[in-house]
Amino acid sequence: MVFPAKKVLRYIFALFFIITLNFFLPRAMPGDPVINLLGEDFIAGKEAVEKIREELGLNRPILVQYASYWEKLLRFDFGYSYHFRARVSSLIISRLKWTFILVAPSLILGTIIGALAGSLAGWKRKSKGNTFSFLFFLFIYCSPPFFISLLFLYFFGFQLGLFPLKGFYTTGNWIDILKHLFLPVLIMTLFSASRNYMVMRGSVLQEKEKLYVWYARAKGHLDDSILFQHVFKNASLPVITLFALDFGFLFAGALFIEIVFSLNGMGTLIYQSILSRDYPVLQGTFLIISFMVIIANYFTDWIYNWIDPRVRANR
Amino acid sequence: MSLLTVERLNVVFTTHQGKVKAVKNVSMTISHQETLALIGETGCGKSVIAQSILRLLPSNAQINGRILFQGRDLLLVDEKTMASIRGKEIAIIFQNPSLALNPVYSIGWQVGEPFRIHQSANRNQSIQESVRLLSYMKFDKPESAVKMYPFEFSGGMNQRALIASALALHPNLIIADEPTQGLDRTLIKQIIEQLDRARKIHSSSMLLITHDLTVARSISDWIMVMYAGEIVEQVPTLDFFQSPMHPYSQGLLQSLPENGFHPIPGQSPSMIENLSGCQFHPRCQWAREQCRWEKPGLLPINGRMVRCFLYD
Amino acid sequence: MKDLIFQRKKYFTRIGGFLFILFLLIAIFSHFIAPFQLRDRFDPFLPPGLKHLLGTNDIGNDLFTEFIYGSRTTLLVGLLTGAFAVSIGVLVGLFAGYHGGVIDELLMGITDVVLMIPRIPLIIVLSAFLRPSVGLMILVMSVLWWTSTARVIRSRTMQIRTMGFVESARCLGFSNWHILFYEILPNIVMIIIPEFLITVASAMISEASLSFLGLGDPTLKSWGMMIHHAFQRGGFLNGMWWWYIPPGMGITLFVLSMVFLSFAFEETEIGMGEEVAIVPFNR
Repeated sequence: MVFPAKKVLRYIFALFFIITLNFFLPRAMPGDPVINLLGEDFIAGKEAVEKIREELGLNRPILVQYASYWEKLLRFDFGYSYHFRARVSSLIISRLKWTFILVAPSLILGTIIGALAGSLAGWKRKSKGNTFSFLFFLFIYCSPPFFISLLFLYFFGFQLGLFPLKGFYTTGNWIDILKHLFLPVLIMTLFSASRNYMVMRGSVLQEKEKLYVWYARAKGHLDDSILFQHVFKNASLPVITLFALDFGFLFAGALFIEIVFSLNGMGTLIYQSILSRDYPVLQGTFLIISFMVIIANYFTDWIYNWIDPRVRANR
Repeated sequence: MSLLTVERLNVVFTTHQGKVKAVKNVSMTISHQETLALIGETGCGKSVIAQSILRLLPSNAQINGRILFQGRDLLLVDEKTMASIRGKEIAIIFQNPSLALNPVYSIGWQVGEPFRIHQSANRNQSIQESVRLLSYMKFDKPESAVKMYPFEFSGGMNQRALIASALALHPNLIIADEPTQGLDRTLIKQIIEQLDRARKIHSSSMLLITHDLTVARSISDWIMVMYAGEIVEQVPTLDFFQSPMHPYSQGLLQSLPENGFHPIPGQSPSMIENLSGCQFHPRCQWAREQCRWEKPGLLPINGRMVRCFLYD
Repeated sequence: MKDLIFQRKKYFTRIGGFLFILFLLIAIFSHFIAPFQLRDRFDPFLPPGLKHLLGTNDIGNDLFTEFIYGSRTTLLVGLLTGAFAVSIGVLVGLFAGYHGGVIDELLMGITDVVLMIPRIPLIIVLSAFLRPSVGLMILVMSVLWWTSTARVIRSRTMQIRTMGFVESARCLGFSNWHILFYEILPNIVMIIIPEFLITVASAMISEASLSFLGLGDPTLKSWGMMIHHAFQRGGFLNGMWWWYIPPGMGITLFVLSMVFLSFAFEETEIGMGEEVAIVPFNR
């Protein structure tokens, strides 16, 4: 699928901008760039600091530094964390897979549930069930994800003792992991579903008024088949667009959920890095998240083009 | 037994501006293989009748009366039965073809829908039928046309595709609601001819709703004139154009370009308030005192029905 | 004969308005409502009681007082961010929509790029480098949150631009500035207000989230900070729900009120008994 040049340009530019921003950040921020690049946990005598400064190339001209920064990036060298005593890239990779275990099923489930519930809510007549689901998802929509996590964890974990309070696993067998994952995945799913619900519902409400819906009924379609065969495809277009825009927000939400549940993913990595002012990790994670957002955008654009024939024609 | 008999149909819409009486006590009959043209100005309630027959009115509408189709009262059947009638025994052709089509599905998929809905055809079979229908409608290269989308075709082509789709299952009654709205003269002629031809081949009846008198003249057997929700004259087509009886009908003919383009003075009445007497009297040049206070009934005169005191 | 849609919308809007005014009053009159001072100390870890409605925290501060004063920061950050972000968005949207062509392409390109920057992570990085403060938060959020508004305003402006009265104003020789601000702007006010409300809502959630991470302004007690302390200092693990649930509910209700208020500006199609549609905030 060929992409219009303008769009590709924007992606490249965004990538460039973020990487450059990341480059200038530690050098432009107040404080010694050495500390900014290594984190506050780095303690050493004056001579050692000067040696490091030389090694990091901070005395060389900016453009040279920029070039070597790019070179390092392409080798996936994000620096070293003194707090964790590990290379930033390996830290990120090891944590990222846990975050994926949380995020991937939740996003898929959340999108499906939200889209289905939202389309039914928009399509069917006003009813108690309708209003209830609307208010339920609205509540989740308006709550910060970390608060919902605390709330759920308090009720289901603390009070009812149904679920463990911390971590990804205690014993390591399947049932145990599922028990640990249940609440976080549930909350993440609800969180993503609530957003999809709102868009889908609004979208279906608008599509409902259109002539082709009326006409489908005039051809002899029954209610449900009109919704799923005709309306759904049209109504899901804004949902797809939303996914791209929302991905960053959704991912950030996942991080908060991880923190509350003490899951060993990116979220807790970032949290600990904030506490210890571990700048290399913070920067590295920022970059990785940005990449993911850009990829999500690209992916979403691709799907949108695939579904809506009008876009394919407009070049 | 006639194909369609409408008895004392009343439709009222509840809106936040009040109750709109769109259709007032309308009765009519369409026999087999007959075309009835329902004419009147925009907003006089013609489309509402069409939608009532198919039970496609919005939720704020209240219907009273009987609509007998092949002996069954359509207002009493359940939704499932109604759905099986729509598109198969009664089909509708609408006025805005490009909007009536779903923008994200291909023409072939949509034209083939009646087969999937009513005949359990699968996707491939229905697309094949679409190709057949489109070639019948004189589409160039129908095999590639079925893969294209509504936005790639002109309004006229979309309309032809829709007509083909509506007639696909040989409906007994075709309702054409302003099928030529917004199309240019030559296209109108083509479409009307095709419509008429198809109707004759399938031996269907047609309810043609239009405000274009020329179109009505060319293919209808009967003409029903509606004004402000009421029938004011019901007459064989030839007689209508030779000697219209109701003052409104006369006014309509006068307003044709070939007769001098004389508009009817005044405005159509509000459908919310109740007007005393004859609804047309404020605009009628022969209005008498009686017309202001008494309402004329629809009475048979010389083989037609007229609602006017002039002929009482 | 009352219109059912408006009745239903009124119901939501009234609740939203009520809640909003309630919180506003709490924020403005914190001095009078709070029973104690923020820095007053009592016995720590007290459960809710008559004297301390929400108990006390780990250093003995009265939690109810913290809750009352916390509303201020939330409101402040939300409203200011909303005001700045929407202003930027309106300007960008107006210019892009009105002038079209190269300017439009350029502005929309910038918008797209800004949209792809993950916001919370960026603020996290910046706040970690610099001293966390309210000003920083408001500034960075304003600079990142205007994109959605800009898009909406742009498409509306493009619609209005083609309308008759704009053309005639042009023909009469009015300058572009005049047209933008006197002809077009009044027509988009109805869209700006819900955008503002939704931006405020998003900003409040973000402020709370960042404060929860400990990146909030340490000098200002915000609801997010309260929850942060609860989480960090044993309030959560000890089951002291009165510490973190009231501020959390406060945030949720405040955001809810904004969303309810935005319903009032919905453009719904006319149909009896139709539901309220919601324009989502994609932030």
